[in-house]
Amino acid sequence: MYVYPFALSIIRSFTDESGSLSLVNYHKAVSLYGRDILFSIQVAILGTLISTILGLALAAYIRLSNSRVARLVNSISRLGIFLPYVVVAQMMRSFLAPHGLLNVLLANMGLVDIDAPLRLFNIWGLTFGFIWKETPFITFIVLSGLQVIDDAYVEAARSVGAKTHHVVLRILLPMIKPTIAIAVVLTFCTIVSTFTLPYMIVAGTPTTVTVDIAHRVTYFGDYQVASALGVFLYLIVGVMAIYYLRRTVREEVYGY
Amino acid sequence: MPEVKLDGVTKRYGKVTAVDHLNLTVRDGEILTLLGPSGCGKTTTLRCIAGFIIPDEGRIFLGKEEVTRLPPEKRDIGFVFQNYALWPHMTVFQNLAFGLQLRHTPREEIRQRVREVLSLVRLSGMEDRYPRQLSGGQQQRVALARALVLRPRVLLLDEPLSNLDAKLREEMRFEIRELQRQLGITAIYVTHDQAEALVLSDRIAVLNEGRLVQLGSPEEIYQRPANKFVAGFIGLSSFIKARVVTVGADAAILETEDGVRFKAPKNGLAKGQEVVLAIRPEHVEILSAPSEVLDNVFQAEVMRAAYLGNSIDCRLRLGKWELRTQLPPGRVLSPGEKLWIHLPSEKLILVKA
Repeated sequence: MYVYPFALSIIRSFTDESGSLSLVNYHKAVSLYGRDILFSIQVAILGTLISTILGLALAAYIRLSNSRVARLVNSISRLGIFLPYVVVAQMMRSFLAPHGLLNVLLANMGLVDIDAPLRLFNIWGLTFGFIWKETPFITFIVLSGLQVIDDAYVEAARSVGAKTHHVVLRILLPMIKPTIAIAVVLTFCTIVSTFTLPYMIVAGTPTTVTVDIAHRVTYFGDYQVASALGVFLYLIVGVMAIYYLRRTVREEVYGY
Repeated sequence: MPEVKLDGVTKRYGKVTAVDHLNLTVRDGEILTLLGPSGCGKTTTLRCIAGFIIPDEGRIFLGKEEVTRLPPEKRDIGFVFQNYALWPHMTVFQNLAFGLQLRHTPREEIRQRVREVLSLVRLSGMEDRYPRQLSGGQQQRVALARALVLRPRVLLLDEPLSNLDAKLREEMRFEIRELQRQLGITAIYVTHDQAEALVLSDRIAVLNEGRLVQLGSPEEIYQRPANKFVAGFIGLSSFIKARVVTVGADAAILETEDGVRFKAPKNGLAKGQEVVLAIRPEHVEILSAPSEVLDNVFQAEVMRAAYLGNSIDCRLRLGKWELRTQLPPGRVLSPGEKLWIHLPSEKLILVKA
């Protein structure tokens, strides 16, 4: 029951309308949605990269600071983890709209002309939405790794002359490389496979493969091309999943 | 190497005062041990000196420089941690080279200094190993080497031997002592192990409840403990409470509430004064027969005896008091057996009650 729908979608992707083996669906998928496949990868890489940088910075700040601000950031940063993507999408629609909060704020600061507002229902708005949602997740995972590191490692670094950025970049983060790798893989896979956010944020094309699959099935009843697009998604996510599994196994068996 | 001076250092955690107006000077080139039970403030003091904790009151000097609020990375202090805190993702070489790299030391000099210090701690050839590939003793040496490779002004050691097995711990005491002498570095060593403190130190600072109770050489601390706490904490002691009955020209007579009388050195005693006699196990002499010529000869009863391999740990009852002594192995003692004992008056330690 678990494998059957997955296997069926792969078989369908290699089958033409008459039921014979063919690459026609892939040909169609690439010619119609090639740009969208690249768009999906682009958004996933950009979103993952920026979320990771922000997540690492926030986690390191929370780990090393005892201030009230750090505790507040820690609490606030968890908010996004528990919100469903559809809620985030709806929030982003009003926040990023031409006369939404972001444009109004930027206009008040004199950075944007309100009559020519930033158009963000595209790759930038979508990436922003993913960063908003995924940064807390990365912060949470990375922080859980950082919090088990004994203070003595940090103090040992400081006693030999390390400043905060040395402590973070040379000691703390390298010590939790497997945790960071897992957070990155999971975030990348989430971004690649999320449907709601691009569906509600991106106006027109290019859009993500997930939206294309839904479109193909809903409007054309074309399961073959949708399956071929699905295989592209499996491949993208699969590479990362293999990396994740290898990393997890290595960590469990060898402890690093 | 500079001296380290603590001037009224105080650190509080809420209502608990971990270090209470501590005044202490660690002399240039000496190894001073902060000794005391858990929670006495010794590690907090060391961490204040390292800069990991900022004291609430008081000042800390390295030589003439005040470092009370200076961050640890600017103090030029080597610190050896109880759990070694070797960075697991770095090899031995990288662990040692890290601090030098931060100081922009030329690559060739880093290699040279790492090689030298590894040879000093007898770990030559281990440069490419990761901490997990080393034994506890080797990790401890790497931690020491990491602190020494930077040629710090002061070396701080926080119970560095407590994770080692008893045999290795004993060996390492002498090694650390030897290394410190060889380098002539000012060192502060924290331990709760009195044997370690006695072997290692030029001077010992005994702390209790955040306060300095006694400061002196190992011999002074052992032979002339300032109070009952020190006498009980350093070495084994049996305590007997007594009152001064008479003070003569060269000795005083003390009597316990159950009528046991002792002759003791008079040193400043006054008639009627209450004192505590601290008696070390090695100062309890067993006699084969009662003696007319010796003072302080009593008949005691064996309460229990335990075989320790190289000696027999024996607990005796004298009146209502318990005395501990150590006898050579081979002697068979049974509970209830009566023994004649001699407590030489000049060996009795009188401490404040």
